[in-house]
Amino acid sequence: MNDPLDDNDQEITDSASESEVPSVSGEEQPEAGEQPARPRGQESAAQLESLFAEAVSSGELPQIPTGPGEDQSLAVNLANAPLNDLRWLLLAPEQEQLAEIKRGLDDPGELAQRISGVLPEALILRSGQDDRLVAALAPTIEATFKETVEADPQYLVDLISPVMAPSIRKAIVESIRGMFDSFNRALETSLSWRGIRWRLESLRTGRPFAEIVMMHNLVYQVEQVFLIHKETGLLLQHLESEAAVAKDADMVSSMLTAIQDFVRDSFSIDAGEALETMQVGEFGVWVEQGSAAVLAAAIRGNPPQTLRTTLREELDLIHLEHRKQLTSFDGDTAHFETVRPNLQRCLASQFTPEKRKTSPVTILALLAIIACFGYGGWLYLQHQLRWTRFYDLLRAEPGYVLTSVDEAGGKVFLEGFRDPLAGDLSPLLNDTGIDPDRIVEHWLPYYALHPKFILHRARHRLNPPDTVQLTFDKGVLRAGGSAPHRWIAAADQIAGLIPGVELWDRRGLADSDHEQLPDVIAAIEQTVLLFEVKLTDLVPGQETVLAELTQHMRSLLELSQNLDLDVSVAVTGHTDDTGSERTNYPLSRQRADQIATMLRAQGLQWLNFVAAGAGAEQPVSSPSPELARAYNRSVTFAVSVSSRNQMGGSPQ
Amino acid sequence: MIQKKICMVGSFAVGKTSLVQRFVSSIFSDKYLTTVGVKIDKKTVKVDGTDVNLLLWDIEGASEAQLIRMTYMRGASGYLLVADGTRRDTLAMAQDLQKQCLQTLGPLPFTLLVNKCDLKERWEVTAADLDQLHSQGWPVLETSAKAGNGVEQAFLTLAASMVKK
Repeated sequence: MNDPLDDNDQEITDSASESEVPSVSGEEQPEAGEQPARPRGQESAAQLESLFAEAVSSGELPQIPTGPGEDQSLAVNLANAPLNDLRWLLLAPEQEQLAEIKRGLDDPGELAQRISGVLPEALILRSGQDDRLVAALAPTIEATFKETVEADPQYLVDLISPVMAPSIRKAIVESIRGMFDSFNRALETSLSWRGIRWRLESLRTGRPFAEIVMMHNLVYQVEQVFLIHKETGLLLQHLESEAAVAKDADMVSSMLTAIQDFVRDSFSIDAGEALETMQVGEFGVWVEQGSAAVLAAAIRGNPPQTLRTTLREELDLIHLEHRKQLTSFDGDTAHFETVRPNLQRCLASQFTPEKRKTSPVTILALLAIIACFGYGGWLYLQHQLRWTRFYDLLRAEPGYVLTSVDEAGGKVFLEGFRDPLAGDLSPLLNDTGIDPDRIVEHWLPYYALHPKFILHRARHRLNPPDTVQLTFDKGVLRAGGSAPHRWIAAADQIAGLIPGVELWDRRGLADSDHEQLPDVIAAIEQTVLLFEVKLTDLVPGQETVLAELTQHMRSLLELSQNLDLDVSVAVTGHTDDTGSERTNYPLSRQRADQIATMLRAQGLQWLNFVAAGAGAEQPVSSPSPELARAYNRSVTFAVSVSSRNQMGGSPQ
Repeated sequence: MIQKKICMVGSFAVGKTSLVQRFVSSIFSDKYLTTVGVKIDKKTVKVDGTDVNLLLWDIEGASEAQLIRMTYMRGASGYLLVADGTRRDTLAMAQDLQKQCLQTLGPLPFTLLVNKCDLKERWEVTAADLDQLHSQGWPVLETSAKAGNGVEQAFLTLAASMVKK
């Protein structure tokens, strides 16, 4: 604000004498808006000047010109009237002009009028010199702006909405389009083979199908990025990925621009709009438009919408940082080396490489799975074979009739018939290796007619002694060996009744009791008990003979009972041929009685001992003639047997 | 690297494309001319020891019914006007195009190439015609697509005038 005034003042001092208005021309002059205090000298000078002017015009005073620069102060020179007159005469028009200017300066209205004329030029001039003008104005403008917005926000909205609305609209449209793209892709792929594969993948991984679709769809690579000068179509900078096969980027850049122009021209598109996407199969070019430059990305695959945001942001950054170079572009692309990092960020890619190479872990896992399956299969086969074998054995097992097999709850229910004599299944289970706990048996009893079982049953029922051999063949139960008479009699009763036995043949079976009887009788009858001469005492050493005799007697008793025989044992006493017949008889009788009594006392009374004395009349044969007498001082035995019913009577 | 966009305009069949074919590198086929209406070629020349990449926009031939798509001219630093010496109307068309360019793009360096100088005996364009243009300040070169006369020079002079500009 100061400077324009200074300039004005300068003009004033140039056109008038410096000495006349010294206070106005100084650098220390106060602010323009303030009313400067008028110096006294000046005021009186103005009054005097007007007096002079009146006097001169009325002819009272001659007009005397005054030499410029001569006087230092008007007041000092007032006394010098002629000089003043002269001055007046010479400088009247300038004086008037000066007065006029001073009036202008003093009147705020006029001053404002004057300043307004040069204010814009002054502002331009000053803002070109330094930033002080900005610093001075900024607070006021900010405050004004704030107040305006607070007073009526709608005003600001109205102001910026025409500018912002298209951008906002565009952003919304793009995001909705991105959403529809994804949705469409999901729909397209849901029914295809690929879709089915992805569904399987979704099932396998447990991730939502939409996520799988997105994952596969998002595989892309930005192969090339072009920064193109919008006006000329010239390539400012270009980056390509390693995998890209790039043709001459300069020409491609120009052609891209040409195609943009072509589309815009051909389809009457609004000036603000432009071709944003070119798509051929999985290859596409995304174009982002800036005010001075265009960013084009050649993309293979399906990029996400966020890539567009990246392109947009980088393009905006480039514009921000290189505005000057872009607007004043003269064909020299060297200025744009610095945008390479921006383009590098656009050269994005996302890979989900298909796992063509199977990793060793996968191979191992596969092998493990195969091994597991193989082992499982082998186990299953073994299992099946075991059960098959078990059933085969069970069917072949005598005494079992398997009628049904059921499996439920991991258990196997066996039903059928079982001979009570059949063994349990544990040998079979052991043999086949089947867990007994898995088996639940339900058997109804029955008689198995298998020869083995008939024989078994026969043994069970007949309980033969070890000396008996039983065989069964074609309905005939045969007995061999020997058996006590009583057993044979019992067997005769039972054998024919045993199920499966049609005929009982014991022709090969000897009656052991019958066979023993003669031997026992012979042993008894050969026994000679020797007595002392004339006495009823046994000769010393005969106790053992007596003991043996007693044993034989017991056997005889047993056999007779077994064979149902009535037995009678004649006990005959003897004497030697010395002595008289009268004494010999009684002696022989006494000897017989004594032995008979003794034997009866041994519990053998059932043998019907009949004691008799024969004296010397029934001589006993001796091993040698010398022993004849000794052998006749003895007791001998004779056994007679008869079947009970023949004997009729009861033992003595 | 200095890059400049230049355009090549002219009537149909004046031999624009074949004129430069031997002197430029191209990755696009001539089909672009009839489909998109423009085909991009590249020519690198040396001006004062500096390589200058000229991106040559070969613009579809103009006809009486329609001049060229001026959109394609946007941002050009210079242009080549091509006329056919054997067809006088093509020179008139070149003049029309020059007017159109001047109107749309402002004053830019350009060069008039009068083609088919190998068929000079059949020329309808007279030396007087060319002299008149020359006197208006038009740089005029006689060229031959067959022999390749003047083409390299045309690129060089145009590039030089653009860089100096």
